[in-house]
Amino acid sequence: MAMARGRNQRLTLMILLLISITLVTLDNHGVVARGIGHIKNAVVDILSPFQRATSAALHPFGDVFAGALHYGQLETQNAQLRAEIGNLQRADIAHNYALTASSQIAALSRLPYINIASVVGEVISPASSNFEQSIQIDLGSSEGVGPGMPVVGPSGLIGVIISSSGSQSMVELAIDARFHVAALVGSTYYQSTGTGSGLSLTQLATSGPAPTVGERVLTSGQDNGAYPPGIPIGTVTAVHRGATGVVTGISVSPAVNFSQLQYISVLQWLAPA
Amino acid sequence: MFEDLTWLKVAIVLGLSLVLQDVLLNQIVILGAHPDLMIALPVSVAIVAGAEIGAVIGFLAGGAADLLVSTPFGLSAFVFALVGYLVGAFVNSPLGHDFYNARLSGTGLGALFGTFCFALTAALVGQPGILTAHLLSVMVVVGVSAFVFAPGLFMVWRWALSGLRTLGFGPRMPSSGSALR
Repeated sequence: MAMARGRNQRLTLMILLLISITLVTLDNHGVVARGIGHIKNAVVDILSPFQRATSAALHPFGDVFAGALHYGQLETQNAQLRAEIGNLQRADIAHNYALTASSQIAALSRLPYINIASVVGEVISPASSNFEQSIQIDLGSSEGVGPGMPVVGPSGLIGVIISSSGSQSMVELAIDARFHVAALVGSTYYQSTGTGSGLSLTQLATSGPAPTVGERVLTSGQDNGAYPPGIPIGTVTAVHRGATGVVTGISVSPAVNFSQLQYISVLQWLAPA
Repeated sequence: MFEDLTWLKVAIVLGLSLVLQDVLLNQIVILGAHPDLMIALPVSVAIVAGAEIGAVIGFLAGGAADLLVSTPFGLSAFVFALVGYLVGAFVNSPLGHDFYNARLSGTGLGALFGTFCFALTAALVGQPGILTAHLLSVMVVVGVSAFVFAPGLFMVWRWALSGLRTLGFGPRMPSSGSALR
């Protein structure tokens, strides 16, 4: 009896695992993958209003929290102003929040390094998985946003749209380990890859001078035009060399502070066919 | 396997958990990671209801979680089903008796184990950047948060699975098979 029950349990598990493996396999194939994508997008659209409401509610709370921390530092440094800061704190927080938001939007509407049609949006949720660097934004296919479009901020490249529903999109951040972009440092071409918390460069050709610390890293536009050239990616922070002096790795600090993303701009740019 | 209304209750629990995870828990980032309610579901149900139900709930919870991430669809379903089964089988083994008695910390440990299994499986299917030092902080955050969620989850499962004959929270649960009508 107990043995038969054990066999049934194992059979159930085997069936479930087989279905899962089948789904993983089919997720890489055209028609089924598109079907799964439609289901995912439908779920995202259903959850979208809840996400937006929570995001709208939590942003001011985050700002109040940051303001409280800042107030503590000021208190230590400027004891005589403590009372006045306390009285003005709430007003300051509200004012600064509005000012930061408007300046970010203004900066996004006149990006200095690129002249491509773009749509400004807001981050509404961080990644759903602990193992991917992505964000959800409040722009979807109804705003003309679709997979493959680069996403930038005032200081540089943020990532790329990897999926879009009608009302929102998922952005794979440039620091995600799956993210690659052709990069240019000085006159040498590289490939930039996310490391989870930063970026690293791999030289595409054997010739060319090694970069120096502090040099700017830009998109080169060499990856079949997937990204327009000239978008800042980051700054070289370290050049690692082996025993023979050969460059073994190049670390890059991203141009964008990924922990403080709020407003972004989606470039309506698609790689030429 | 389940009574008629039990399926509906399980669907409600999974649906609400998915909404809670996506809308609220994803926003709470500690040490670069956020709590994971979806992995705590199969672990907690496996502790109280056994391996088979743990596997089924794990498969469903993983499938729901897969809807919101960009990793291959079915990967979480695979891992969560396996974790639900293994936790349930362990709890029902002679070695697992104490584990059931310490079921709050057991949920935390199970979620931690499940997170490690997910990372390992994801790396095996070619997902880059998974097996890094960041995994340790993810495991800690997910494990601790599952420990915090555990009392609520046991109450929820007691309600949702009330159609099962012998589900209870006093003495150690019998094997999952005898929990079925």
